Amino acid sequence: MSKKVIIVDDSRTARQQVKSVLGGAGYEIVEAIDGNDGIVKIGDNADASLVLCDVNMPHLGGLDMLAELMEKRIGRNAVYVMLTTEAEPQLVQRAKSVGAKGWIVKPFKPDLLIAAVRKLVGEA
Amino acid sequence: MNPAERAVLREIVATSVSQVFAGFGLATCEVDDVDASSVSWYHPVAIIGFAGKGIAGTACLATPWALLKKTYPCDYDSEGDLLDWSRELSNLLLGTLKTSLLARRISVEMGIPASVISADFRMQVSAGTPLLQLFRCEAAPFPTLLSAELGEGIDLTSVPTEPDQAPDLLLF
Repeated sequence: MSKKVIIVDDSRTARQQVKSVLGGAGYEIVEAIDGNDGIVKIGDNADASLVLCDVNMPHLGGLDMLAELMEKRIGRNAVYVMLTTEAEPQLVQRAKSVGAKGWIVKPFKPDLLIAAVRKLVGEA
Repeated sequence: MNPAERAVLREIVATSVSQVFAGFGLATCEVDDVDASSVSWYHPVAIIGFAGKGIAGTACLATPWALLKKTYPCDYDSEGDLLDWSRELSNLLLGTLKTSLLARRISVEMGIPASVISADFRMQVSAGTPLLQLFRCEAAPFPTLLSAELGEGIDLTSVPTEPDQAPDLLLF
């Protein structure tokens, strides 16, 4: 069975791109459209290996989503990586402090994303 | 905003636009002496706000359909996909612009982009000093408009430091 990756991003394009790249590498992809949807999908997919998450999203941003997940002890088996246009060191530090294991700046190179995911959770 | 600050901001926008499209292998150039009345906004217009201590504003990017199709990172199904992509491009533009501001010790938070498309679209800025720039990419002209209000303690003309930013990939 393929490893499951959840992409949380309000941009359909970003979700499609991740689906195309990681789906093509054999991972199963679940999509969530913002932080609130992310909490639901992560709760429903306790077997997910990795969550890729945007930072700036309507309703609930990625860093607040991650903090809430950790506080509610939901999805604690997954590895969290932020995928964002932001590159501000203070935000990176905050991501680290709320449990993220990586930070990828958009636009990402497909090979780089696959390599990072493989390094963090292994082959699909 | 004084003329020196406008010049710096103009340069930051031009560099940011260039960097964003270079990421897709495309070269852009700025068209000088823009006549605002001749600028067409009849493209998908993405609008994104930003704010920080002593600074607030809005960035607008009108990207022609052809350019959206050319830079779209996977297969698109509909006009809606391209509108979504126009918002992502404005996100990328503001993210790049934010890095340039950080190098001048100015920190801003980015808003959530919105997009519109209408033949009747007109740009009206109620506050700040709008900075209209026209660029050309693959023969397609497209405008950007940046409105920013600067407060006390904001010095756009300070010498920038090396941008303090995360690398493209960082694993903790």
